[in-house]
Amino acid sequence: MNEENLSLSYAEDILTATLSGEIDHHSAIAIRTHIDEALFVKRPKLLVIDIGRVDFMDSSGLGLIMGRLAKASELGIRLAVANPSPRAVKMLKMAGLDRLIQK
Amino acid sequence: MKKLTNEIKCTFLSKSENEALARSIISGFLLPLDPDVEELADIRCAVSEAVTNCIVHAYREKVGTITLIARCYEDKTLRIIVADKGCGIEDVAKARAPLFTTCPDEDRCGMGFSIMESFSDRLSVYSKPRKGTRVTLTRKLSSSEKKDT
Repeated sequence: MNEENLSLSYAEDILTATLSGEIDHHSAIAIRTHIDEALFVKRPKLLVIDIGRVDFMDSSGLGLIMGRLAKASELGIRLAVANPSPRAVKMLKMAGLDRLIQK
Repeated sequence: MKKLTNEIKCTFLSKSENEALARSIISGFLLPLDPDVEELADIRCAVSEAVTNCIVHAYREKVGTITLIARCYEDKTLRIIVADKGCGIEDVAKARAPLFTTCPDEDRCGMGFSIMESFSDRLSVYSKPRKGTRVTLTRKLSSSEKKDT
C-alpha cells in the first residue's frame, strides 16, 4: 500500500510502516488510519515505524507514534522506530520515546 | 531600539493543509538571512507547532483566521507572532506543561509548547478565553562571522 507519505509492507510477522516527506498534523490523519487498519488486518508481532525518509516532523509525528504505540499495545503488538535522523532522535527524546528506537 | 530590517504579515484559514504553507512562508522569509540548517529546521518546527495549535485547539469547532507575522531586526533577531481569535486558553501555565493535552484521544502528545520553547530563545503566550491567543517566538540567528570560524 502506498500513499504520498506512507508505504506499508508485511513479511514474517513484521508490519513495516515507512513514512516519508513531511509528517505534520495534516499528513498524520491519513497515516494513522492506514496503519491502524493494517494492524487489525495483519495482526503482526511487531510494528516498525521507519522514519528514515522523513524530511520534517513536528509533535504531530510524535503523537502519531505514541498513538500507534497505544493501539499496538492494546493488540499485544510490539512497536519499534527505525532509522531516525539525529534531529528525529532529539524530538523522540523530548517525548521520552527514544526507548522505542530499534537497535 | 533595534532597527527593523524586514517584516511580513499574512493571514490564512485554519485548515490543516496550511500547516505546510506556514512552514514555506517562514522558510522564504528566513532564507535570505542565511540561517544554518539547524536554525531553519528549529524555527520551521516551532512555527508549525504554533499554527497547529490554532487549527487543533483554537478553532476546534470552526474555521477561523490565523495571522503570521515575522520580523527581523538589524542584529538578526527574529520575532515571529502566530495569533488567532479562537477559544483562548483558560490556564496558560498548565497548557505549557510538557505532555499536557486536552486531546489525548486524537494522538496529541502535548509537546507543542515544549518544542516551541526548546527551539526559541524566548517564548511568550498571551491568551484570553473566548478572545484568542498570541504566541511570540524570539530567536537570534547566529552571525555569518561565527559560521565561518
